[in-house]
Amino acid sequence: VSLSRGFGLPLRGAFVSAALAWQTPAFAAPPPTENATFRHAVWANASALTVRPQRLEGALLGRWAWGIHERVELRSHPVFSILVPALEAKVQIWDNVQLGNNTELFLSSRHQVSTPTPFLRLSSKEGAFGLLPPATDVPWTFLVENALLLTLRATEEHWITVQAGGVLAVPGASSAPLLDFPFLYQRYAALSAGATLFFGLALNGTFAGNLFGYSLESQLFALPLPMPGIQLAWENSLALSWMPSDSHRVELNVRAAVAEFPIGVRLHWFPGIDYGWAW
Amino acid sequence: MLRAATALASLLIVGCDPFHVEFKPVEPAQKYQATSLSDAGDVPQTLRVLNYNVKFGGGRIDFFFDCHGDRVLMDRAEVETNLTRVAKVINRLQPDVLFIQEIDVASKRSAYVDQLQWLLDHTDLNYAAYASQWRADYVPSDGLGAVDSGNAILSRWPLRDAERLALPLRTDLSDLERYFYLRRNLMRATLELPDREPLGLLTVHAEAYAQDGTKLQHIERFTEELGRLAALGPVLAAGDLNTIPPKSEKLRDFDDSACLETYVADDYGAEQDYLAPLFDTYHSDLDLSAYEADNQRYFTHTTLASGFWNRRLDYIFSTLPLSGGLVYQSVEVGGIDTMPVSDHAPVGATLELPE
Repeated sequence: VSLSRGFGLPLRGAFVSAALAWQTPAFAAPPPTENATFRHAVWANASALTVRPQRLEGALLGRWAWGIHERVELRSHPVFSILVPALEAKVQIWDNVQLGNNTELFLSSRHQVSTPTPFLRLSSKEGAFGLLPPATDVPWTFLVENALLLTLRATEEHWITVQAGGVLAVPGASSAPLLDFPFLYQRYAALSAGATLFFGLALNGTFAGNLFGYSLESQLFALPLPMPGIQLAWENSLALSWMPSDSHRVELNVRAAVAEFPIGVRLHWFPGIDYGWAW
Repeated sequence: MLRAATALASLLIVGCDPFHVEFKPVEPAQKYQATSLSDAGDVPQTLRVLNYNVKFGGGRIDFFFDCHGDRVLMDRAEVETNLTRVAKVINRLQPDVLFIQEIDVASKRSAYVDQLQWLLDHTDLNYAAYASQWRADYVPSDGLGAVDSGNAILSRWPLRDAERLALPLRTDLSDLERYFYLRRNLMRATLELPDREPLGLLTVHAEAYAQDGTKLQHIERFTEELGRLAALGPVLAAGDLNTIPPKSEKLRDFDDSACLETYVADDYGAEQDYLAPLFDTYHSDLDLSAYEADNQRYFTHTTLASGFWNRRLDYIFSTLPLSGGLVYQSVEVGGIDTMPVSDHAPVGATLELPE
């Protein structure tokens, strides 16, 4: 006895890309370019900087960003929010704290509310792309994510950011099967665990006269799933972007994660490409 | 655009193996050992041999794939309850060598229980070799998730040189379907019997559903490898060959066929001679003349728990004499009720070792 049906339609690779990009922290991040005390990022990124007021950034796969205030940036995606409704706000708390030697410090908080319930209900199906069994009861659950980001600008072109945060499932862990799909596993583990923690380190910068940007990010997730011990997931990404202007950019990235799944430790990687524009 | 994106996704998935589904043509099988070894005692003149497809500890739960129900996943309590039944059968029949098909070692559908280790720890068998036939970090279909399921050989005595030999893949699937589909195998090993000549072992779980001749290729490869091992010394082979013996009366329209819209897995009209070379060359647990007289007495499979075994799919072959071949069908035939335990009945025989 074995499985012989299921993949009548090709797997929607783009669908997976979208699901990943939805939770992708950012495009490769160039530092501010206008002056030394500028508190805004030209392109939204994983640092404590926000995009400047009234700037709206779009992307094919990644989230869109909108500067609604000097210190507040909103993020969401107009299309993918149908599957995973989500809204994130980044609020800058400190900016340009001088540490000497032209070193500046920025502190922001990041707050996101999302619900993967529509996506999971859509994925609870027979056949191809059935991530959960068809009869799964997927209750409405909201993931509330809060984090603090501390960014150190050591040189004109290179930045380092550390962050720490957690995800809380509201109203709590659900009894639906654990979603142990690579990459989604650590992002949605709070659905089964009730809450998760994460710690991150990011290096961002530009080179070749700001024509290119890079982002090197590392995140450690602690997943207290209903299994012995606390599972860990370590995710790393490298992104390179070509930025011919402040209004257009193309990014190539690769993401790799080593995670403790119920079946053991597994390494997965995923390449991506995206195009972004801004008004 | 969508077609290009799909093609690119297929290329990445099939070409880069992100879900770790692939195997080398030949690779070592995974070795197992009971947590606490039982006393195997002296090697007797005869060995009790058993072949058992255990349906991944699924018992008679009606799963979606055989179209009798919609279940996909079990919880740990269900798995352990079903494994307890399997262990009860094994402990009752006391095999010296046990060939198992469809055993899960790390599958979401069976609550990630390592069933092979569990059986070693709950029977008198001490050693095992495992060859996965379906492994994926995630099967994104029907909510299956992670799967690692395959064939195993268990023994009271140590096994060595256990290897997994890859069998041809189906060609009647798309690249993406084939990527996530089963990768069947032969597993060979050598049984170390103290003070006796080593015994070659071979097992298979042949293709069930292909419409492209893959099943015949698997049986031919099994026959070929059995012949190659037989040239080196005594061999014992067993498995779920997923086809019927010569002299079978019923070839199609079985009472448990439920997946009528999706595929026809049980039309054996063209397969009556698939096993003839094996029966012509080797000793078997199945006496074809007895089978001709009464097919039903030797049936080993049905997907319908409320019915009765309705076809023969499981076999034992050897270069050494086999006697006492028996399908443990029920309390009346075999002395144990196996219908609730799996969709296959265990097949047993006694192997006569050379002096």
